[in-house]
Amino acid sequence: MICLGFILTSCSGVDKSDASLNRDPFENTNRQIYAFNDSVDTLILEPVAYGYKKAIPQSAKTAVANHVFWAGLPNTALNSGLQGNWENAALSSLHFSVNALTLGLINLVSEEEPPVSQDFGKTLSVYDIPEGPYVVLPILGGKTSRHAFGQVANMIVNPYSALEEKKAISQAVSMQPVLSTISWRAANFDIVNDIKYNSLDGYVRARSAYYQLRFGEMPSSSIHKSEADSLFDDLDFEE
Amino acid sequence: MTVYSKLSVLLLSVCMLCGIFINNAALASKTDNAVSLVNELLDEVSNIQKTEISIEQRRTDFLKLIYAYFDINIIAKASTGPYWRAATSDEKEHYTKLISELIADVTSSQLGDIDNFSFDFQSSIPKGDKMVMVSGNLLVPNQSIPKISVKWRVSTPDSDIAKIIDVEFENISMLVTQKQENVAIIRKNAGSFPALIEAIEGKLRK
Repeated sequence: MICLGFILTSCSGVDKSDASLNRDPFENTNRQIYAFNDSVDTLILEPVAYGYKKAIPQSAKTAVANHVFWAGLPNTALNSGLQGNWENAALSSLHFSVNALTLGLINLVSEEEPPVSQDFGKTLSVYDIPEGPYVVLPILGGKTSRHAFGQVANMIVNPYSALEEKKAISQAVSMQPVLSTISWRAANFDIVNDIKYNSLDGYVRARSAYYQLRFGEMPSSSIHKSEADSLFDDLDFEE
Repeated sequence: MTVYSKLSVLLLSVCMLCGIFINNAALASKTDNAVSLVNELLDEVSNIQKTEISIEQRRTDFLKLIYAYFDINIIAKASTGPYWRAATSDEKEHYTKLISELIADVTSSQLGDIDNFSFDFQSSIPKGDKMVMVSGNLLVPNQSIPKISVKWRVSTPDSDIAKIIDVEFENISMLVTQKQENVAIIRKNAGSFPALIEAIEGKLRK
């Protein structure tokens, strides 16, 4: 999610349905940090991701994506447990243990439904902690305060500490934020560039995309209405 | 109970059953129409992508598809929120034309040179009595993201006409995103609808 937030924000009379005013009380400051992140993306990440996308064979890119997913599984298992989702906790533990044989580069557990990634931000939402205002952090990007706090918690409560003696694993883990950022940016190269270069207001588009994506990932998303559902509920179809 | 009463109850039951049957048939027809519309559109897009034509011609072809398959009036109205009512007829007409061109432009740019894709249909669910949600996965082999979840919101008024009003990729609604951008621009310009028109014109000129 670090890379997701970074990319979405780096490139990136009111009706009652427009929640952006309430969600983003620090918009002016956020826009300045967004502009900084945008420059970092243009100068460093975009060219690196372009090179990665063009030069690395698809099989190697898949292996890196597998590894990044695998490296996040201990946090997923922990948070799934905290959310009471024992099935996902067990599934992610199983995937992590089996795929540790290849450092996650090759997925040895072929299942139609892999474990669903979880983080502390989602766990906090399960316990009804409010999402808080939208904040854009340097490098880390834009997210809700709850999500940002959860991300810090993810870093502090690192399940890899149990594996400290396994040098290969800890080295792989230390590379994970860099790898995941490049891998994600390359995989979403055109989409992110579309936000950067084709939008009327990149900041607003990135924020909107973040909220909608995040909503879809929330454990409670199936019981709440999405923004699109609300938009069409209020819409008068007659001309 | 008299014979007449029994007959009345029987007649009423038959009428209710017919009503349920007709209603279900109408709903089934709407969902079928919506799925057919999406499949037809994807076939048309695939044909355009497989043909070697100039970027300009591709945009023109996409624009024709937008007018044929999308309810551009609803999209124009929904994408400007409360500011639609305050706009003049000329502004509404101009904006509707521009937003169609913008969608064609963005679609053409996003699809790039992808010419090999298929739609794995999952479900079609009525949303109220005027809309159907068609869901599935767009399968794009040899791409960095080979499977993209897509939901199509199709407007299905009482007539047989079905038109697309929104597309969601991985839970991101194109209409919601466009509306938020539009509203931000209008608000930044003290509620001026022409400022939005100017911004879109500027974007299309690039």
